[in-house]
Amino acid sequence: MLTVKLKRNIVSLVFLLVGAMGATAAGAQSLGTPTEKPILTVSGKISTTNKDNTAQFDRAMLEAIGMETIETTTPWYTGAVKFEGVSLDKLMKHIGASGERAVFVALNDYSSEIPVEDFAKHNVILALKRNGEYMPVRDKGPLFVIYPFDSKPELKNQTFYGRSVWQVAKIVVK
Amino acid sequence: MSLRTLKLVLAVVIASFLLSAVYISSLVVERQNALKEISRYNIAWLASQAVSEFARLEQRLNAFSVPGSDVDEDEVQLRYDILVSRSKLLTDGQFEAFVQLDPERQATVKGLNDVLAAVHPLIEQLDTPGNAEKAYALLREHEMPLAGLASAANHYGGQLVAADQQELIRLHWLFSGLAACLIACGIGLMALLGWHNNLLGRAHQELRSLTKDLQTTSGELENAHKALSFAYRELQNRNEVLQAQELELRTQNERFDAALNNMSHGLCMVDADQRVIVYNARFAELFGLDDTAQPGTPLESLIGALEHRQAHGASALRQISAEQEDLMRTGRGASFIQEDPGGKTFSISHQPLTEGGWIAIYEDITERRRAESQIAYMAHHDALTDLANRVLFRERLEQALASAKRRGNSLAVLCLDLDRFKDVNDSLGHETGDLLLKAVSARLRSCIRDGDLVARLGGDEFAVLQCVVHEPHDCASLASRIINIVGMPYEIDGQEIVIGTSVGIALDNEAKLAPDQLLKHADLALYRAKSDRRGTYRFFEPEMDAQLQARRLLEADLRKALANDEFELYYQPQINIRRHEISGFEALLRWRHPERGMVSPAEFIPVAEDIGLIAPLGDWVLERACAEAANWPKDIKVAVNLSPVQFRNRALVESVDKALTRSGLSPSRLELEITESVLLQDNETTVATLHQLRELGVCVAMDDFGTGYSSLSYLRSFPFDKIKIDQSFVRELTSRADCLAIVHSITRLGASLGMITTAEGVETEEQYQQLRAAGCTEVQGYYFGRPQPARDLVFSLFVEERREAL
Repeated sequence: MLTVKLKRNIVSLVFLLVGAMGATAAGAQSLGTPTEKPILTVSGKISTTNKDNTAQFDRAMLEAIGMETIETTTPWYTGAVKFEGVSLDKLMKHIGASGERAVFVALNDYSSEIPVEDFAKHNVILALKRNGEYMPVRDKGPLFVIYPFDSKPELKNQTFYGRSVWQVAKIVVK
Repeated sequence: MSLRTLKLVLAVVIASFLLSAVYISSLVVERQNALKEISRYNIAWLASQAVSEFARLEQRLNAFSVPGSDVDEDEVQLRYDILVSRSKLLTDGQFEAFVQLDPERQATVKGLNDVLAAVHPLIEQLDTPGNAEKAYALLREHEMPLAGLASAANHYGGQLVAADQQELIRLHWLFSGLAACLIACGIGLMALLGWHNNLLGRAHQELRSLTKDLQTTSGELENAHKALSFAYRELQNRNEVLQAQELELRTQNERFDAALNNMSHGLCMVDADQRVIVYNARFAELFGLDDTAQPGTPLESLIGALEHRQAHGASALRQISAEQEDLMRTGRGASFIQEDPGGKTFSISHQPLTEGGWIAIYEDITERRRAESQIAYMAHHDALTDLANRVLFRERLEQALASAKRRGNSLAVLCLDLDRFKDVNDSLGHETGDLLLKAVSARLRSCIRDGDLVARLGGDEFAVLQCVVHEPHDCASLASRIINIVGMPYEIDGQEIVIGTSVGIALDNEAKLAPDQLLKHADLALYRAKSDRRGTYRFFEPEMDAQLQARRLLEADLRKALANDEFELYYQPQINIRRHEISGFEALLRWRHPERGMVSPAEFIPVAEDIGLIAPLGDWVLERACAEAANWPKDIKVAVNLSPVQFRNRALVESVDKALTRSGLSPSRLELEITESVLLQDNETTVATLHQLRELGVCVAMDDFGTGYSSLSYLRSFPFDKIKIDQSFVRELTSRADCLAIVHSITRLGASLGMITTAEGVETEEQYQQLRAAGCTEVQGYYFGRPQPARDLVFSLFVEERREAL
């Protein structure tokens, strides 16, 4: 038991170190500049910016942060759907976000506020792909906030459904 | 309601709870679902968003048409895409269901989709002038229906909300009902539980009281058990005691049986109904009872059976029984003797019992009686001669005295003994002596009358009781007859023996004489007869008794004299003729009788010798003489006379030694004077005693020499220091020549044997001169000094002479 716990501790320590190194590395380098038309603009309490106190990302920049996959059922699709996208937690760290809340604004100006702690707690991703395809604006693209609903029953709730904003265009960290 | 029913009810209530809970749970799920339905998707919101996005697209298209606006192709394209995305939602899910409800709505949605498809190429080529306007125109036609759809959607949403609310209210009521039910159930449960508790409490109470009861009962049981065990122990103890008692009783019984059956006496116990209840083996043996006689048999039938069998004890038992019946009438116990005609004699000790009946002890005393009569005869007769003995003689004398008193006649007692019978015994032996006594007895018996009695009183003493005496002559003739007949020669074992006898006679002429007195009188008379002349008789005379009385008195006084310090010593000087001075004193015993005054030693010394007083008296004389002489001048001796009786006492030497030691007197100053009669008795012992005395260092003098046997062998038997010439020679010294010659011879004999010669009784100057001339060593007498008490003594002859002269 002790060995297992120790092992786990060591593993977490390693992850922590790796994460820290990543963060340091990310913080050290500039965000870079979008080569294509930006699809996401992050503003508010962030330390790393690349244009007019905002951080602007094109699809490639987001993918560069690292892709993660969530396979889950949703109210919006029949059956389980595989979403791929960037971890919001990583994204926040990437840009040095220091706020507690993040307001996600959709293309149609629909907005929803999500506590930042959700990102690490529930491994929330900002999905780019659905079933391996980039999501177009016509089908809730280009970015869709996805919680791993199937992993935790408490996530199957209107609160989290409401936080799952599609057609995300902007994030304001408060 | 019983606990069991209550439990059942409780179970039902709990089951109801469970069911309610399950149902509530399902309701909650249902409600959750309902709420989900409400909030999952808002049709009105969808529709309104569609209207908004539609309007935005129109606005962008219009703005695009206006030159100089900031709306570019991409913006229009984006708004188009957004609307396409929305339109897809309108044909999907819940909204589709809403659309399907109405054909108009279907047409509106279809119209929208169609127009979107129609404007797509136009929007793709917006650069082409007029395309924007065309697109706007196409879209504008659908503005109204879309707004209507939105309105309808809003309305439908309101309906859905209302329905949901309805559903929620229903659920609310259901919940409330269930809650009420649950509360009721809870209250019921509480009540039931209360009741249950109550019941349990009661049960507990009952249990407690039951426990208490049980405890009490247990306590009582324990107490009972204790009591029981105590009782049991007690019982055991009692039992043990009883067993012990039984054992004891059995042992006792066995002992009693053993004791009864080993008794030398017969025992019989009869109850109040005259039934024999106990008898022992000896009883059966005594009266010839057989085994058929069982305890419980009436005594009468027992005797009857004995008589029937002609048993040996039948008549005796019959007689005894008759005697006992007489005794039972008086109700007292008694002992009696029953003689059986068959020659047996029984001694019966009869004792009535308190509860009636009696117990008796039977003894066959036939043999004992025989023995008793034998013993009685032996007790009254002399075994050797078969004459009456002293006891019988005394009894008969008593009887005779009584009868003589009644009849007024006289009787006489004659005492006799054989003269010199001792010589016969010594010379011819005891057997001959006994035969002689028998022969004498036979002769005595032959010369008395019937009714008179001859008895042998002991040794050679006989007595005759002459019962009828008319005058003293009768006695005298009987005495003469006796003297004659006894004095005739005897022929015993071929030897002729002649022996005489003397008789003393006592008459009871004074009728108040006791038998012993009469016998004593006869004895005194005999004594007189013997001292007068042997072979004669003497009658008792009262003066004989007076002498006897006087002597008794003297004896009694003499016994007290020593204790009363009535004796004194007087000293008479002995003068050494050659040195003409006092050489010593002779101690002379004096008795100063309180009434009679001075008593002569010649009177009381023989009495003292007779009554055994001489030994202590002699010791006293020795002690006193030595003690007083110890105070005298060293060259003065003291002479003490010793009685022959003292020589028989073996402690004489010790007494002398003690007297010397105590006084501290030098032994050479003590002179012991003995008479030749001392040497007459057991010679060897006497001489040995004399030698022992000599060894002590004392001088020994021969006293009264010249009288008695005056055997010269006595002088040879012991080397005396001194010879004392008897005063009888001195007294007639001057008148008789033979006396002078004897004195001369003795002094010469003394001189030649180296012995001192002392002349006694010198009273005159003439006697003294003659004794001096004869060669006497010492003189003693009134001429030189009378005996004086020690305090008056003078030790110098000069003073003596001067006193004489005065």
